[in-house]
Amino acid sequence: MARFAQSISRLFGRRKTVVRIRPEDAVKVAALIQATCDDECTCDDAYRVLDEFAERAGRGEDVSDLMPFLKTHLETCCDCREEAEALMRALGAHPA
Amino acid sequence: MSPRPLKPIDAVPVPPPGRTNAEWLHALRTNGAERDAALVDLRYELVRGLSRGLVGWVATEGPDFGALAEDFADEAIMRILGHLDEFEGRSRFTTWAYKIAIRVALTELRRRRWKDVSLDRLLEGEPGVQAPRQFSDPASGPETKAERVELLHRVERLIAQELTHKQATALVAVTIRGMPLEEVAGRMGMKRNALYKLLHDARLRLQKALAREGLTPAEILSVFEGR
Repeated sequence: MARFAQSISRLFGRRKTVVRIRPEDAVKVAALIQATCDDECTCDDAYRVLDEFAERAGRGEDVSDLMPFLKTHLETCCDCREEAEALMRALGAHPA
Repeated sequence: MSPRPLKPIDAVPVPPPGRTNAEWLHALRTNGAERDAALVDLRYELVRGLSRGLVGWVATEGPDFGALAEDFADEAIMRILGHLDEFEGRSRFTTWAYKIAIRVALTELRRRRWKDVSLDRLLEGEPGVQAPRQFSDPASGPETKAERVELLHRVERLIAQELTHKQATALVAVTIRGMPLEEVAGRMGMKRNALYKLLHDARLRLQKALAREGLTPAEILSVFEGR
């Protein structure tokens, strides 16, 4: 019966995962949860405007109007943040 | 990528004055000498941009960088030519092209860096994770230590209770172990965008679960970092 329940839970993606974390891991998770908003743009959304963002940010313009959720995305997505920083360096600007 | 003769970046000739966006698009869509000249200039621009953008990722001053950057530029040019219609004019054309070249380069550099790491290994944990928890703050007394241990157990329990196996795997791999989304997504058979959505859902679940328990992320940070 237990195996049947386990199979069902796996089928529906509800298999539980026991994770042992360290204090520094708890800090990472908490910081990320703290930055979480109900509505966030996705990596594809961010990528679409990243060139405009990098140019304007590099000129020191206020980019908060460009995409309200982009800032949150760059805080929570390491890949996109790295790409934004690399793009700004490519433009000769210094990432914030 | 096949080895190529090294060509130092500063040996590339200085390009002519920059084109407007319309001129770039026109030149790249045409045939013949005008297109060829635009491709040479674009390749030069991309290599130049990558030499600045990849600082911290690879030795951009090293002898192998020229060939590496040219490979990235060539791959990026293929993508750029295939997606010219998607250029919306939100930026300079070269900035848009840099964006594509950087995506190409970082995707490959991440793949190389993480190629020998499996998700299973990440979930098993790094050496020391299973060891008794050590708290680095020597000033913290027994009560603080007990509070921290209890809080760690609560966070572990919430991850186990609230998240699916896929969500927990992604959270550990990306947030805790620092594996790039692109790499985790590939191993999980997903697109990076879909993995971000999965992680966003996981974060929202944990956020709500913490709230139900009367706990805020700020309190967790405060306990562990004294913020």
